[in-house]
Amino acid sequence: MASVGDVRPDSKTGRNILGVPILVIGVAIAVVPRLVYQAFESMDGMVMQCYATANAEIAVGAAIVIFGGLYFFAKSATLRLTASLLALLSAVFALLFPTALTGLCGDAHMACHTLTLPMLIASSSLIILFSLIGAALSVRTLLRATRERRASGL
Amino acid sequence: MSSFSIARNNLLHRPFRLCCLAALIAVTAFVIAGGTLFGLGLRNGVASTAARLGADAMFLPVGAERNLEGALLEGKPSTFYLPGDAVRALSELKGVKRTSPQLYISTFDSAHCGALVQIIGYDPETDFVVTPWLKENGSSEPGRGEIVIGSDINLALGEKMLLFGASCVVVGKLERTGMGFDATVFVGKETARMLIDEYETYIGAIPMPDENAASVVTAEIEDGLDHETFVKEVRKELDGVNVILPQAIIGNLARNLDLTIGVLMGIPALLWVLSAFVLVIVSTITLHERKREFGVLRALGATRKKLLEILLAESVLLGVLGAGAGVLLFCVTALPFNALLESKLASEYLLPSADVTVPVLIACFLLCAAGGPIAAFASAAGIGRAETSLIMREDV
Repeated sequence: MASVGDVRPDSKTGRNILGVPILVIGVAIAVVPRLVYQAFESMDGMVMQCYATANAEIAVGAAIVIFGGLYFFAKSATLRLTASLLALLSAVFALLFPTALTGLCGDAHMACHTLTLPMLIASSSLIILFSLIGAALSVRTLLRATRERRASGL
Repeated sequence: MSSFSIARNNLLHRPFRLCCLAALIAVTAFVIAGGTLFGLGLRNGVASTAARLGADAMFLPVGAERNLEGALLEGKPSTFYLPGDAVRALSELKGVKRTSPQLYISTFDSAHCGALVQIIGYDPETDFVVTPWLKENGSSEPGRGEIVIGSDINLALGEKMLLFGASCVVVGKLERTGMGFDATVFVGKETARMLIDEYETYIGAIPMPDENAASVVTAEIEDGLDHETFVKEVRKELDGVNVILPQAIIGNLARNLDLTIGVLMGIPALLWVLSAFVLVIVSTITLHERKREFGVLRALGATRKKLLEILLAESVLLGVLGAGAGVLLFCVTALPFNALLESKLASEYLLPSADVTVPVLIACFLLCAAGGPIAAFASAAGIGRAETSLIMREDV
């Protein structure tokens, strides 16, 4: 049974520490741009770029939630490594949509620039950080298992 | 086994203690970085405002004070005029060294204009406020049909901007100021005349009273002139003209700000001392609990120097981990919200440029990372003696 301080990747505590934040931040990425900051499809006849970004972030956020859930529930280290890397890739896309792919509105004072963009940068960066730690821990578990198998001559 | 490897294993063996102590240092680093950069941002905002307002005095029509403040500080465009005879009278006013007129035109929030911006037309022949700033930014003087834009206008050099019916080419882009100037278009005298003709054809436009009218007259006043007397005389002599002394206003603002910045810098400093104090206490308690461990190491042949090396390596690793995590978290979670802070605080806040921000973040990291080794030194002072006596007791 894992102790309070045990954050080994194969422990439940370790999975909680990394999996839960990925899940929560994934939900925030999906929900916040569209529902909280209320991106509009058009304003005074002008198509708003942030609306397209908000839609894309729903898909990316949903993907992060799925991979975060997979990391949280997976018992196999290989599966957790796959989930971490996929969450990392999704976070990179969450960052690329507002900055390079679909973009935001032209006026730098609009909410999509002052609120949505920093929120997405902060959320994506945190997911990248957690995914990297998760991937590193999974790799360590896999290497340890390989060493133990070799040592036992299997 | 090296002291570093032993220290690393010791830390990883107690992950909960490692996380708690690293979190304490991380929070300190986060608050110190935030407090310092916010304080510097406030100072920078006032310095930038002082530099951009340049002139000793600004003359404007009575009742347009709020419009000018909105245009210069908050980026709320407006159009207003001083009659031509008042502009002429100002240039001949006693105590005034030189003057330069500026024309303020607001675009419309419609499809006829690229964006809702403030247009400021200035006269390059007499100007002493805008021209030096353009030179600082490496921008050329805008000719006919050419514009220099503020940093918030999303256009690149060579691109065109629709202003009323005229399509103007961007020939310069200014650095960020944190003021209304960031959403302003600067044009020369000829372009201003062309744009005012276009502007007047639109419904809702405020017609220019005469050909020589201006919106604001910037002025340099003679040295040693008493500001209060000067303001009183202008108001008495020229009917319908008000005068603002930007440098005097900024001087008061800067004085009030010094106290705020002092408090902002003081809180992180206090937190650092508190954090170092907590680390000293925690280190002392931990070392007390680890007496037996050190006794075993001494019995196995480890010298006192080796034990101190292990303690120091542990504290350095802890400090680097905590301070690194704090500064990194600050960069990814708080720094991106800088634009929001700038828009809420308008001209009062402007984040320093990267060549100031990066050294400040490095200094915060070093300061907080040093907290661990300082605490280790302070607590290890008595441990050497205690650990020897323990070994002696164990031998007995």
